[in-house]
Amino acid sequence: MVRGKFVSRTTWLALAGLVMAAGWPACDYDPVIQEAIEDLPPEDPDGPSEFHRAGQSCVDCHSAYYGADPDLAIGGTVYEQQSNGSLDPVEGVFVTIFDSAGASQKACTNSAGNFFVRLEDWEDAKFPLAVQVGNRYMRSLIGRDRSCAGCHELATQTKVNIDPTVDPSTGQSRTSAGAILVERSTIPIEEQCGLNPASASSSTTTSTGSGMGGSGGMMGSGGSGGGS
Amino acid sequence: MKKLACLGLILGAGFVSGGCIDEPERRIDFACADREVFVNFVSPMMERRCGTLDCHGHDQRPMRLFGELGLRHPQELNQTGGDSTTARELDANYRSVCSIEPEKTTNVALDPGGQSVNKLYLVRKARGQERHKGGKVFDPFDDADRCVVGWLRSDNPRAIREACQAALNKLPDTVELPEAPAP
Ligand code: HEC
Ligand code: HEC
Repeated sequence: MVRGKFVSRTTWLALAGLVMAAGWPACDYDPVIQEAIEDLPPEDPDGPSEFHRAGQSCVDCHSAYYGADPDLAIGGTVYEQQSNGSLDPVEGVFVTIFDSAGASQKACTNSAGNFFVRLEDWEDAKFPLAVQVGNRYMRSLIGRDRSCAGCHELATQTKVNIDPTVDPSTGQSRTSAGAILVERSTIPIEEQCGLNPASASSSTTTSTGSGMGGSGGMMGSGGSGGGS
Repeated sequence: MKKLACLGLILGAGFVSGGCIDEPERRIDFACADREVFVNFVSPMMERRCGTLDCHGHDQRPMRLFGELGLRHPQELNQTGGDSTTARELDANYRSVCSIEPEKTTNVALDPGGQSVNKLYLVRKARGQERHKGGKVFDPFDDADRCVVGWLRSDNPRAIREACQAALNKLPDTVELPEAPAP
């Protein structure tokens, strides 16, 4: 009897395990994010790490939705365009993100050009956000996407084939701002990080109150945006 | 189908007058607030505050908005972050915003200075008073809110310009709106 009970319990567990492994259709199943994730190229040969999946939408996966660890508040990749058009990752530049409540976070790019801010370090970022990378300022705002690559989509052959506006090098098009680009040689010393032993090697720092646009919050109460 | 085509035509033509020539008996007239004021003052603000690529600057979103820093018109060859918003894009933005609720928008346009503006989805969603994926983005009577509401209820173009410019001044981009026409 005891044995029978044990068996049925394991069977139940195994079944539950199978269902979970197959991807439990959670209540907040999001076809848009799901499709975006399924369209991504396979994992880097070296496996997941802070250097992986450069140029991809980090927070589609690093979120409660997909569950990749750690949860990220923001993530992206910074490049420099070479004279032949190719994109090189830029290591050691500060990315500063300003929220609508006057808070900001700095992150430093690694050797893959990747940077990120963990969600635990910035749970209450108030959208919209403004962005600075080295000496370049984004003129527009981030409404709700926590992945830079959501708007800064790189080129793919498929996209180049179907959309005449796609720049095959940067990916800039009628729907994409293209790769996030900086010029290494013009980045002022105070915007460099990581490589310089004098500056902290930790990836993020926080400050509150500086905000963008000077006085007061930039846009009233701020939105409630954010990836799902 | 015909009715839809007709609506587009009237919206495009600039309203109030004109109907559907084919179907005089089913004639419907739609009105929307001033096109010039929208194009010159309101669209630049809405493009930047509502039309980002992750919000209304998206082919599959309702109230689709085009613009220099967002989605570009499919029949032109511009890129995001490239040339200024084009005449065709401004026209599409006007139609997009005016056709959310054509009847209610008509009533608002025909009642300058009235209170019915507060019932429009456009206003209520931006204020977070109605279900809105982007949450609350304007506070009632803040600059951006006054920019849109002032236009919808046909306030003085100078006041509208001032509100739209003030809303734009809080953004990282530098925009200098054209002067309002002399009264
Ligand atoms: C397709 C989904 C996906 C995308 C896109 C993705 N990641 Fe990951 N990432 C993972 C998975 C899976 C792991 C392994 C951890 C886990 O299994 O929870 C991981 C691990 C990591 C880790 C932890 C590494 C460690 O040593 O603990 C970091 C940091 C990270 N990713 C950063 C990024 C950044 C930055 C981007 C964007 C440039 C990105 N990821 C894009 C799925 C993804
Ligand atoms: C909602 C869409 C969107 C998101 C999300 C987004 N960007 Fe942008 N970004 C743009 C657009 C559009 C431009 C081009 C025009 C401009 O400067 O705003 C741009 C331009 C830039 C530029 C200016 C490049 C230059 O040529 O000077 C930088 C730097 C930048 N983005 C960084 C980032 C970073 C870092 C992130 C993620 C934290 C990010 N962006 C997320 C839309 C976006």
